[in-house]
Amino acid sequence: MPELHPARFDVVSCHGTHASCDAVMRTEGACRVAADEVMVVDRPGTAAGIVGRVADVVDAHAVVVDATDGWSAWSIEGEDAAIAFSYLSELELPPAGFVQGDVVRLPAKVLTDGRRLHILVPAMFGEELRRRIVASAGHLGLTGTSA
Amino acid sequence: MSIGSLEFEGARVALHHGDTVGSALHRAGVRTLTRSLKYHRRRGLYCMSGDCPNCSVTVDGVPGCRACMTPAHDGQVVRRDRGLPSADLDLLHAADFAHALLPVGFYYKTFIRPRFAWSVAERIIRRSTGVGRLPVDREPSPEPSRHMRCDVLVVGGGLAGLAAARAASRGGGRVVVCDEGVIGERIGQPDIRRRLRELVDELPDNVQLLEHHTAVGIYEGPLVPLVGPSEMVRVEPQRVVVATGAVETHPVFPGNDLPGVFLGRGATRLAGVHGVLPGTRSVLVAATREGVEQASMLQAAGVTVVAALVNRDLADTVPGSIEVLEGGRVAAAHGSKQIVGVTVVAGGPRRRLDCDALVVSLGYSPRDALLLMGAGLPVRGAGDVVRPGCSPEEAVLSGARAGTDDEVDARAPHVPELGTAGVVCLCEDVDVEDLERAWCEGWRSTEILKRYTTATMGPCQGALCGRHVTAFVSAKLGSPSVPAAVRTSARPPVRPVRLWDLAGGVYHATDRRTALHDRHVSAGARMERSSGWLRPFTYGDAAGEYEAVREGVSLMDVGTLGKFLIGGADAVELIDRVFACRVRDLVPGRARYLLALDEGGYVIDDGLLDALAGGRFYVTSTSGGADRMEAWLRNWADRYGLRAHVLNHTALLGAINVAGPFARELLERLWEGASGPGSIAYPGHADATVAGVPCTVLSVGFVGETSFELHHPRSRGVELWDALLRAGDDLGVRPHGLDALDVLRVEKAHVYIGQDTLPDDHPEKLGLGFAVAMEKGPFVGRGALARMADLPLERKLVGLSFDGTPQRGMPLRHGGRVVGRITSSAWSPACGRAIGLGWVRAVDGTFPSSLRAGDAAVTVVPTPFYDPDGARLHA
Repeated sequence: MPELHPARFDVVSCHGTHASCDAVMRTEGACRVAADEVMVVDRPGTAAGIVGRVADVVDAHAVVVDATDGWSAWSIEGEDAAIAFSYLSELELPPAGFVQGDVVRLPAKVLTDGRRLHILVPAMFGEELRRRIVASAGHLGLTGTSA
Repeated sequence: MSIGSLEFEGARVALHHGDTVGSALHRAGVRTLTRSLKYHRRRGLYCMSGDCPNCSVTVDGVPGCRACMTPAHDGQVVRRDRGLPSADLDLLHAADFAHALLPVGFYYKTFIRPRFAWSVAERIIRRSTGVGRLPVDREPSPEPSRHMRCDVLVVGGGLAGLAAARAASRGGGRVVVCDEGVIGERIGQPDIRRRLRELVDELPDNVQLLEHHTAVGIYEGPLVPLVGPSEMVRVEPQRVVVATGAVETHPVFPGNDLPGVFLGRGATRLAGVHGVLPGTRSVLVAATREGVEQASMLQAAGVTVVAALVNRDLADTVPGSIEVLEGGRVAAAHGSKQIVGVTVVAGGPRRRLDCDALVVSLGYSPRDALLLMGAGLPVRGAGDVVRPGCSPEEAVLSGARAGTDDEVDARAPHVPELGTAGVVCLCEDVDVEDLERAWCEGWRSTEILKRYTTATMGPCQGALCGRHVTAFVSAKLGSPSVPAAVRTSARPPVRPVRLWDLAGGVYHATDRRTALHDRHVSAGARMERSSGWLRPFTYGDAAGEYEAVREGVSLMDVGTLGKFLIGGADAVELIDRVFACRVRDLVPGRARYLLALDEGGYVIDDGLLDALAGGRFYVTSTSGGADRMEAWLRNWADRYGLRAHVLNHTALLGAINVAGPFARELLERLWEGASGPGSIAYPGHADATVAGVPCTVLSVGFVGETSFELHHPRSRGVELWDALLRAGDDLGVRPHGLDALDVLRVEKAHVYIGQDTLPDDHPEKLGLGFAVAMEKGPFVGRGALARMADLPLERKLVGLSFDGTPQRGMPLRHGGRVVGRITSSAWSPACGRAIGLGWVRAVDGTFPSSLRAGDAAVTVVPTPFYDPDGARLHA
């Protein structure tokens, strides 16, 4: 049975030239969210280090910020995580990696490694995301507690 | 053996294994399951395949359930929807004897004079017709909705569908087969049922079966929604095979809708699958070999088949015990509560045959609505749907071809004969006479005949009668190929869908929450939606909250404001080109009120522009305008080809406004570092640490008192809020909500974009001309403003003083004419009277100053109402 948990990640947002973003994509946890924007998602406590490393490889006018506070995350774990996700979004999950788009009608970034998937939404939607996940896939046992 | 019972209008009806609601009721002797829409004629089981509306009942409070398709279970509650006072004794059946008064389209021509007649007639018509009553007293509970991708979706789990699935699966792709029931369960012939189960058992692992899942349409994509028993599945296949089969042709003759008249497959399904006899004495009409075989099946089940009306070439195949009426046809069926006999014509004089069932198998009408919807999409048909009446072997072959995406040879379907009387559209009670009358009135194509008569527009969507209407028009025009005789469009849903199936995955309101949400709730705030956010309107004492701002110090959660960081090599260029204010002279640490205009020069948002070091800017916008502002900035950056980055920090940052005469003192207590809040220019900003929280402190003046917005990391919001409340305890600090804010900002005549503005308000109309720097270079909207500069203002936003307490939205009158509207109003403690804002139109070139709003006298007054010199703001 899939399980729903609140999750925490550090997020660094990098806006720069295409070449800068290409360079940042070599960072672990980097997700290309736009041609001129990369989002680096990693475990808590890593943002400051990432900002430093990323700042070294981007152009002079690039903007690199610790955007951790701007995101709220929920994780779905278990063998049926992908099935549960099919009740939440029409996005096609890769075997492992990153997709972005509409999840329960909220703008979301989704990271997956096959057995787990992490759904990140702008922080003000965090509780709304949990409520909608439970409403849409609660019948699968996804209940979740408030973050 | 009984496996329980259902409740039918107060009586218990025993259930047998495999029963549907319809089969159980028929076994219990219930013949009338509903009444027809218009004439309230009795209707009972007919097709047994969900194609017709004749067995529509309410099951467990859900109206419109097909009794023939709804699995029965113990404890179910079933009732019939129509009839006054009941379906068995229906006084509204009197309409059936008044055809002359209720001709087709009568409601277009009658009840026109006097004018109130239609409103009365409409109410009566609506009450006497309809297809069940919605369960309005039940809480809606949308079913879950999920998404699925596959290579091939096969709709229909018959021989053709399963053959298609097997063929499609050979490539290794993912194949999904859906069927609206359990595969094979509704097939009357045991050998075919067995063969289907064998085919299911042979399906490889890459084929997924979705039984009890009904495809209700095909959309672009293709996207095929499947309605399941407890979910909606939105399937996005690479291609679709439609193998939905065919329904036997609906026969048209007088009395063709009496309970006891069955389509052949329906009768054999009732007998062969459910073990329920359609009747004890039956007359059979068969134009197909399958139809003749049905006679044997009915006999084997215990039905006495008294006569078979067949074509000459089928006569020899009829079992010897049955009287054969070669070339015979049914002239009429007789009965009141159900069929008791038929009049047949078979070469000689008319004969009457007594019977309690009439089984008719004339040919096949493909269920091709999905196929028609799939035109232009990767959709193929297989089996009866493209080769109606095909043999089992043909079905398997065609399925195998469709499964590998090969073309299947089509065969023309049976063209129905209408005769001179009888019901054509069972859903809408349209008979042959109605079609004739409409034709005579000039409605001479299938499309307009459909619209005028409503034939094909009922719940079955023309599944039974669509081809009849086409055949009628073709016969009248003498050719089936003329445009006027083409079939009408097929549209979803092809099967009735419950509203809550469609509601799955739909969310009506999005609640954005600030990091301080729980603090507001625990403080007893009344939380309501405002601009997409849940915000505190008051903490219980709006007057006290107002007073705290004016006389002491107060906090407000303004984390809802749009917040943007603008950077990049061309950041200055972007900001200068998009905003109307001066930009290039703004030094870091200073701020300026900004207006965002569209190309027409009309105000779309406002906010504050703060210059940062390094050519970057921090921009705030209204709470509801953040998404639009982001899109607007990005759009212009793209259009100008500027190297600018727009970072929406609305979610990242919280913001708390500290306002009031003691705001500075409160902040000084928590300020860390040499300079204090007094060092911040107005309007301007500085980075500071307040109560240990890193903040960008903005000096603002929306409420008309000394105010500082502390923009901080969202995760530190609660910490900062609590620290401010603790530190200001002796100053009487308390939070204020939107109710108090509304009074405070009206006193300063500060506009709410959207509430006080109209879509065509340019800055001058709002008295915001000071925020426009026409002398600087081009900016968005400048050209339009320049063109409008010489035009006199025809309308403007003004300050209003009320002798009374008129409400926002009330019209403003001058000399009896409406010349404006109140956009904001409030009781002002500072002014001691009701004040407001509103727009006023010029009358004969001047703006009136004395107006009325209802009974209240209204005077146009200068603004701001409070502290016009801004002394308190700069104190």
